[in-house]
Amino acid sequence: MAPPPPELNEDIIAEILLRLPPDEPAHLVRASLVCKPWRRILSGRAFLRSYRRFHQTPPPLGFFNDMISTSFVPITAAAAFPFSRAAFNSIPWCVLDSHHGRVLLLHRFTYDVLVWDPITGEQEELRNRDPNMLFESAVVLCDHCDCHGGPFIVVCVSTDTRDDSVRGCVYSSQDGAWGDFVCVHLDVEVDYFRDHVNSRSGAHVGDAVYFVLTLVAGDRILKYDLGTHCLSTVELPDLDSNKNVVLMSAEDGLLGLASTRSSNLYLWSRMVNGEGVAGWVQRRLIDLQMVLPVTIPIDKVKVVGFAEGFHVIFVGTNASTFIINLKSGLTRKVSGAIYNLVVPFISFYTPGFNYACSKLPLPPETN
Amino acid sequence: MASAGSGDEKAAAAAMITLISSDNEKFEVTEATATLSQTIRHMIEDGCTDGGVPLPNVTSKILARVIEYCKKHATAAAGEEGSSSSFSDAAFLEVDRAFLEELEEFDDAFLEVDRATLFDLILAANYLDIKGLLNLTCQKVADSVKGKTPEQIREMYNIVNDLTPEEEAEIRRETQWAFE
Repeated sequence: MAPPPPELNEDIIAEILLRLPPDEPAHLVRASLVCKPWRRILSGRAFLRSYRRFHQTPPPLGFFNDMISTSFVPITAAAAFPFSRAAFNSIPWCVLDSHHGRVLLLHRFTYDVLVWDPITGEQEELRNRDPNMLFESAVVLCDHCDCHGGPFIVVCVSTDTRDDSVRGCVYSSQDGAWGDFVCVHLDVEVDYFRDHVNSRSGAHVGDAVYFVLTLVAGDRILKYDLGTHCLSTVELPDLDSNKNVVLMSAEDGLLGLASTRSSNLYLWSRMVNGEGVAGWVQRRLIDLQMVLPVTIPIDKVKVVGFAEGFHVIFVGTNASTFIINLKSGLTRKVSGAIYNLVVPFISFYTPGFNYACSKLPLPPETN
Repeated sequence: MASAGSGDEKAAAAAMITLISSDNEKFEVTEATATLSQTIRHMIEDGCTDGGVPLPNVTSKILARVIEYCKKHATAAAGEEGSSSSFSDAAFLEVDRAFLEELEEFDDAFLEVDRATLFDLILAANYLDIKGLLNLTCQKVADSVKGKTPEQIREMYNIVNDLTPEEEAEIRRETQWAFE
C-alpha cells in the first residue's frame, strides 16, 4: 500500500494548475469545482496574471458574429460561455472590435462606446462628446502587459463629408478622457451614403492601427499612427475590384492583408524594397479546396476574420465558417453558418471572476 | 575521443559538493550537478557549503532521485556547450536531436513513480528551486487532471470537497457549459 501523498501548499497547487492548457477553458472550470482552496487560487487576479505570463499567447476562444443581435460563437469544445447567454440580446449595441481580451461595443443610436472585459466582467461606457462624430469603426487596445484590468485605449475613426476627410480620436483610460481629433484630408469627394470606414476592419500592427476605407473613388487603407497620432492612407494591392479583404499582422510583424478569389486565399505583406519604397507583395496562395475539410466543390470563399497573435484566419464558404491556422496548416469547421465579418475573441479564461456582472446590462431604452 | 577526455578532466577538476538529506545520508555531487538547484547555487556563491549542505526537507530516497535528474540534465547542458564548437552545423543538429530525444526518454522514465513520490519530488524541486524538475513534475500532475471531472480529481488526489452542496450546485449551474 503506497503511503498517502504529502500535502501541497497553495503555491505549488497554483504551479500545477498554471500548466492546464488555455485552449480548453473547461479544464480550469472543472478544477475550480474540486475544493475551496483550488477555487480560491483559480479565481484570483494573481493566477490570471501568472497564467498569462506562463502561456504568453492567449488562444482564440470564439468569435462575435455580425447578426443584428450579436451572439458569441465558441470555438473550444465547451458548448457555450457564460457571457454568450444574455449578453447581446440588446439590439442597440453591436460588437465593433476585440483585442487583448476586451470587447468594444458601439451603441447604434447614440454612438457611445462600451469597453467590456467578459472575463472579469468590468465595463466602462465612454460617452460620445461630439454629435458630428458618428463613429464608423474603432479598436480597443492595451499595452498587453496585464490585459485584464490594466490601462487601455480606444481609437475611433469616421469619414467626414463636410471637408472630405477622415477624422480620428483616441480615448485613454489612464487620462479618463478623449484626446484631440486628428484628421486626414482625402483628395477625393466623400460620398455621405456610400463612403465609410469599414466597421470591424481594425487591425493592430506594430505601432499603428489600420482600417479598410470604402470610397466610391477607390478603396484604401486608413492608418492611425499611435506614436505620432497622425492619420494617413495607404493604397490596397491590385485586387481586380474584389473587395473582400481582411487586414492582419503578417508573420514577420509587417502589415498584412488576406484576400480571396474563387476558391483561393491570398496573403499579402506590405514590404519596403531596397530603395525604401513600400509596396504590396503576394506572399502565399492557399487553394482552400485542397485544405478545407469539405467534399463539395467550393466556388467562392470569403475571408471573414483574423485572430492576431495566433495566426488563425476565419474563412466562409458557401455554407460554413472555418478556421485555418496559418502556421500549422490545421483547419477546422467552427460554424454551420456564414458571416460577413466576425470579431475573434482572444483571451485567457480563468474561472471564478464575478459571473454575476459578466453579462452586459440592458441599456435603459430597452428595459 | 579528445573532447570526451577533456570533459572528464574538467569534471575531475570541478569542485565536489556534499548534500546531506533529512535522514543524514551524504551525497557527493559535482558543482555542475548541484547548481541546477538555484537554492544550492546561492549557497555556493555565499560560500556556505563547507562541511556539506544540509537539506532538512528532503529524504535520502527523494534526494537520490533529484540528483539522478540533475546529473542527467547537467550533462545535457555541458554536452550542448561542448559540442557546438566541435561539430559542423548539420552534425551538431543531428547530435542535438538525438540528445534531446534521449533526454525526453529519460524524463518519461523518471516520471514513472507513484503519486506520493511525485508529490515529494515536486516539494523537493520547489524547495531546491530546480526549474526544469518543477516544470516536469507539475506538468505530469496537470496532465493527469486534464479532462477529468471534479469528482475524479478529488478521488485521484484524496482531496476533501469542502464546498457546500449549495455552493457546488450554484457554480455548476453557472458553468454548465464546462461539463457538457
